[in-house]
Amino acid sequence: MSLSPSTSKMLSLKSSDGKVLEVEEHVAVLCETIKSLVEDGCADSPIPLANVDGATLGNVMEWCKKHADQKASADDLEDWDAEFVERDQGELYHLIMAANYLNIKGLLDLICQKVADMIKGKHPEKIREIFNIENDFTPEQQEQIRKDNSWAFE
Amino acid sequence: MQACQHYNRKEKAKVKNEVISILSMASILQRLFCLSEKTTVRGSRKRKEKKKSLRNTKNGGDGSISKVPRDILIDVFSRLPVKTIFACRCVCNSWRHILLDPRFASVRLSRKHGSLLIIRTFFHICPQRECYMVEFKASNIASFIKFNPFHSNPRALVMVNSCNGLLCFTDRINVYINNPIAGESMRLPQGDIFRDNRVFGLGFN
Repeated sequence: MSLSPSTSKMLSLKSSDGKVLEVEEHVAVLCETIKSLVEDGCADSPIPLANVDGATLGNVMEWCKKHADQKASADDLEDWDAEFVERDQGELYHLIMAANYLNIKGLLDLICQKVADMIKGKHPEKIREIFNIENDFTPEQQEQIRKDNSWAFE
Repeated sequence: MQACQHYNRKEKAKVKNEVISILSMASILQRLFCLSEKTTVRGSRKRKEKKKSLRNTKNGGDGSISKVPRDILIDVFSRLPVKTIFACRCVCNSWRHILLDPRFASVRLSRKHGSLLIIRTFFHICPQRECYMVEFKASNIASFIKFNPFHSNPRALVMVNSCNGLLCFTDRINVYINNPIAGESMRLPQGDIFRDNRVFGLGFN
């Protein structure tokens, strides 16, 4: 358990699939969306988070908890984050959507960087394969693109 | 080429009357960038796909990262080196449109990547007169990309100067503006100004 400021009270968050999670307020307010609810005094009943499923909410709060822990050093957080993003694409997708919805800049940054690292240095064919993207160029477009960008594949 | 003609018709009269040796590039820059603005995403279909994939957590496929909203994709792309951006432009139509969108250019610019150096080889060293983009990270060379700004007769073109990421070339008859990152080129309308005034450059106000 992380050591929290002694006054921190608990908030309950309700996921899209009806799971309720009890989270310390100083952890939950890392989500700007929740923070503004707390500030407006609207955080009493379980806060419904219609766009985040229970499993993802658990992951997000795990990240918030680590980052709310003031004892964690920068190096420690970096290592922890690197491990945190080692997930399959489905989970990363849900995390990115949740971080966007809950407005957690640090988490969104972390996952965007992870996705960028997955793309970095890859050829178009490989990128399509990784992200399951259909090549929707017409043969004419394809030809033109090859001509325009032939040097990009060297 | 279309860009040129489009520009030609609309702006010819205006440009003709200006006696300039340094061209004000603000409107041309906008015009170059606006070319890609017509093509934007198809929103509702994407939203549906997103909803669908919220149901499938574990089995990858539908929860593909490529389905995230446009702003997040822009954030991801803005972290990539130039060479990978070019590769991403060849992945699919929607990525191509995002990467040619001026909003992407401004987000990437704000991220303060290392600088990009454009080098043009001299004719006596390299008859092909190739252009290179050299990307730096800190003070090290991060990548080295050969590019050809003009498909037709690159040999005859001389690079005049660069400004705000745009390059200015001339073959002594025409003046061309090239945006190497967007991969777009245009020829400036030929007016009387080029007949006698052989000194020109690219500026920005």
